[in-house]
Amino acid sequence: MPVEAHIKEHPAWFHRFEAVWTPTVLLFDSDGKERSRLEGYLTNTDFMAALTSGLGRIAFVHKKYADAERWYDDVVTRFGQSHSAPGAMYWRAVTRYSATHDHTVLSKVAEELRTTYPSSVWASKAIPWLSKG
Amino acid sequence: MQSTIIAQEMNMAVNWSKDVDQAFAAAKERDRAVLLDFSAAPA
Repeated sequence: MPVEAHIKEHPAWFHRFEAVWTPTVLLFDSDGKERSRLEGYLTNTDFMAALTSGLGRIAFVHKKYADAERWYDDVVTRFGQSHSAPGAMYWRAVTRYSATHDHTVLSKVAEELRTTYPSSVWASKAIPWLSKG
Repeated sequence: MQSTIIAQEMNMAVNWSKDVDQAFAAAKERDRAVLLDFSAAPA
C-alpha cells in the first residue's frame, strides 16, 4: 500500500508522523504500527535492501518466522553489498532461533558475521554468541 | 521520489495513494504493509 506525502500537499502528515527531514520513508504493519523508518537518500540497492529488511521486521514481530527468514535471506543473497545485509544476516539467524530454539544458529552466524562483515556493528553484537575455545 | 524512480527502473507501476487513513484501512483488511513516502522534491 504505497502512499505519497508531499510537503506542499500534506504538511500535517509531517507533524503527525514526525517526519523531520526528506526523504523519509516509513513502513507500517497491517495494524498501522511503524516498523521501519528510513531518513535521507539511499542508493537504489540500499533502499531496496532496507525496505526488504523492513518487511522481514514486520513478519518477525508478528511471529511469521518463515516469512521473516525469507525476507532477510533475500537481503543477504540479493543485496549482500548493501548496508542492510549484516543486520539481515543477524536477524535471519535470530528468526531461525526463534522458530527452532536451536542455539547453534547463533554461534554460526557470529562466525559468519565476523568473517563476512568484520567491521559491522552486527558482528560486534554477535560476539557473545561466538563459541568459546 | 526515490520509490517511484526505482519502480520506473524496474519497469513496475506503482499505484500511489494520497489518503493515508484509507491505506491503513485497506492494509488491515488485506494484511498488507503500508509504505509512506515523504518528499519535498519539486513536482
